[in-house]
Amino acid sequence: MQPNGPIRNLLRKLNNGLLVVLKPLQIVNNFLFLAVAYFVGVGISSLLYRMGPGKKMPASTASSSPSEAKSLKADASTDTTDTYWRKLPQVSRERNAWLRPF
Amino acid sequence: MTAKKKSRTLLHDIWDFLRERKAWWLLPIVVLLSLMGVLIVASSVPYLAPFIYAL
Amino acid sequence: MRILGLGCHYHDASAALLIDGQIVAAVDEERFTRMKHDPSFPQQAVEYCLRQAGIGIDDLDAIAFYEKPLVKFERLLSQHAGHYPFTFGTFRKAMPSWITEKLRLRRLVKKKLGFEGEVFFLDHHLSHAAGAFYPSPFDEAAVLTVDGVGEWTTTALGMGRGTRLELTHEIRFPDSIGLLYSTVTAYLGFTVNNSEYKVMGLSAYGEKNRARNPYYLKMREVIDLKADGSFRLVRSYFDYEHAERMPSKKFCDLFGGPPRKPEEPVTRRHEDVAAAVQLVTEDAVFAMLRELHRITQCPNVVLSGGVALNSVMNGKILSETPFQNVWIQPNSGDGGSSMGAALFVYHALMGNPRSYRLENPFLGPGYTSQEVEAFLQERGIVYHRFPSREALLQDTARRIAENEIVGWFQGRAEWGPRALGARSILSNAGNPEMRDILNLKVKHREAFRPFAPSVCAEEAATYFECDTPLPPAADFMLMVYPVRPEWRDRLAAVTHVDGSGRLQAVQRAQHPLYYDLIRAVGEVTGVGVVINTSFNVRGEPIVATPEQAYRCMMGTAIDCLVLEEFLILRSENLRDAWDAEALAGD
Repeated sequence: MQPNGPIRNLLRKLNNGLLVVLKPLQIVNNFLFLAVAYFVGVGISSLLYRMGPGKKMPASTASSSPSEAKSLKADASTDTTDTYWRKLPQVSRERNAWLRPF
Repeated sequence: MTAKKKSRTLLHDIWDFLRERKAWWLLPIVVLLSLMGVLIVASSVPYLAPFIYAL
Repeated sequence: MRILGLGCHYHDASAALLIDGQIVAAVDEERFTRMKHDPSFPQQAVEYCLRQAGIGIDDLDAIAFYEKPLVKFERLLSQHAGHYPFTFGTFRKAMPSWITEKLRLRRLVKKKLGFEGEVFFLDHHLSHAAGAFYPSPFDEAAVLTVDGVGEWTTTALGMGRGTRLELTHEIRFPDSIGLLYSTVTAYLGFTVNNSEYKVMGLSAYGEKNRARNPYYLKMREVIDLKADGSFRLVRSYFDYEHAERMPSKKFCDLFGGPPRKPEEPVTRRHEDVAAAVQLVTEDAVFAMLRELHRITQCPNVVLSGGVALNSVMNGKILSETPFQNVWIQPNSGDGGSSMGAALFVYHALMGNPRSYRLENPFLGPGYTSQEVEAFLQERGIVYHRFPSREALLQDTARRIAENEIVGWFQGRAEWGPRALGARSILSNAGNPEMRDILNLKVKHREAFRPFAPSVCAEEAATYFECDTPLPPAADFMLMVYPVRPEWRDRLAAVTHVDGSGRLQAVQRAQHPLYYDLIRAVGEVTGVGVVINTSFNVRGEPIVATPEQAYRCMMGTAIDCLVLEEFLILRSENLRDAWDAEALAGD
């Protein structure tokens, strides 16, 4: 796939060597980075999440607009209802909606 | 059908996602993960053990 | 039009290739990597699909992915946010793969496959529904999907008409029948996402009368089940939202003790708990199906999701619900979603008419006689070539009748978790001792797990009290029916403790050689049934190549291997013998 010149080869070997040396360091680093991401990032997110209006009922996986999400929220069942089924909005999604990972 | 779309970046996708679903509570974790993600070279972290299903 | 369906990053990664509306190849990645339920990117499965069709990656018009990764990521983060700061352990383990791979599917597809065209992302349960509806024999069908969890959805109702498919109702995480079943699987000391079928097998030993089972009412306590099949799980009994365990302490207290350790003996209590969760699962799913029928008024139903692999439940669908026809695809867990994703893009998004029916589950890799012979010669294996098809059938039937254990490797591999006569270990179902012989020599299974029988479709009603006409899902070993009382003694090896059998009804058009073999066995023994168990070393995926089949035979006590038109005897190749059991997993 890539040209296999001697310089590239040398760089690759150098890189491999560095990896061996840095690997243990990397694991420690990853741990620290993830700890920061968790305790700061998830921490603040968690506050917002809990402060949000009522217990968050996220938008349906099949919905494509916030208004639909809202209608679902209104639909959210409570323990006294006879059903826990949530109705899904029957809207046809535009083509682009299928090309994105959400 | 075969026309190639301009490729979108992950951050672009995430931004659209947060905006559309008004999931702003996710923003802090996304920012932090993005910052840290640049530094994290995920290696040798196996998929989660089979004793937990949902996480 | 060529569309490649992909599923990966959770469990059972797979690829399926759709060309002009026909599925030409489909396979789970585990068959190549030899790691059971392998979730990794299905590189080798894709390579096989393209090779089988004789096309390159640039010939594809689109790729369809079975999930919306960002939505799943949102669910995951909401779990962490909801249970902060107690989830760092799982966060730390899960996040790197999300950042580098799972969120970057498009980049991954480009990097690993060199594909730069359009990638469609479908919702997980829509992929399940599409995988059940589009390949089904029905023009119109109600759809039920039930699994552990996708993005948010765990259960969905829907309706398919022609090329249209819509989900109309859903239930969301953490309320999940799949996760309830998995929680009990973990509680009973089996591996989650793998051994749920053991719980189903064990349930036959427990008390199946709802009034008498001491745990049935307790199991109903952990789930608030409405008359219309909708439900909520009572959160305090479950820990899977935030911890690396599934049952909570309260759950353990309710069911009379801590989780069984894998090495502990299975007791009557475990059997009753297994029966209780099976009963509650059936309560819930049958209520859902009745509601689905009320909404749709359609006589046909298709099911998908991991829970639809519960063959004990499936066998009762037509008698317990108003539906008249049922179809379930052979790979109805997550593996089958790649096929569903490709079909949905082709039919629902592009509007192409349907022409494909998944009647033939043999969509995996196969080998020509030349390739097999080249392998045998290269390895110096002693082998014989059958002079004719008739000789192969007669000799194999005689060996089965004489209680030999036969490795059977014929044609292209099966799609899905069950061996259906392409990669199977066959033996004499007419010998009541055969279960013990098989367990002793090859399978080393827990004693409570039954072996499955294959029978020619026309003769199924001779041996089994099955629905008539027989639902096509019985072709894929997805329906359990009672063995007729007069056959239970003779068919003891395939009759479960409760008198049931998980039969495979073989249609001649699906696998003529296998069908003819069952007939030939019937002529010799007087019983037209063979024991069909998957061709694998315990803990490994089903064998995929002649090499793996040979290795499996030599590592176990399989007597001979009928590999395409060649016969290989274990006794003539003992220099290659080894002990598979020493390395066996779960």
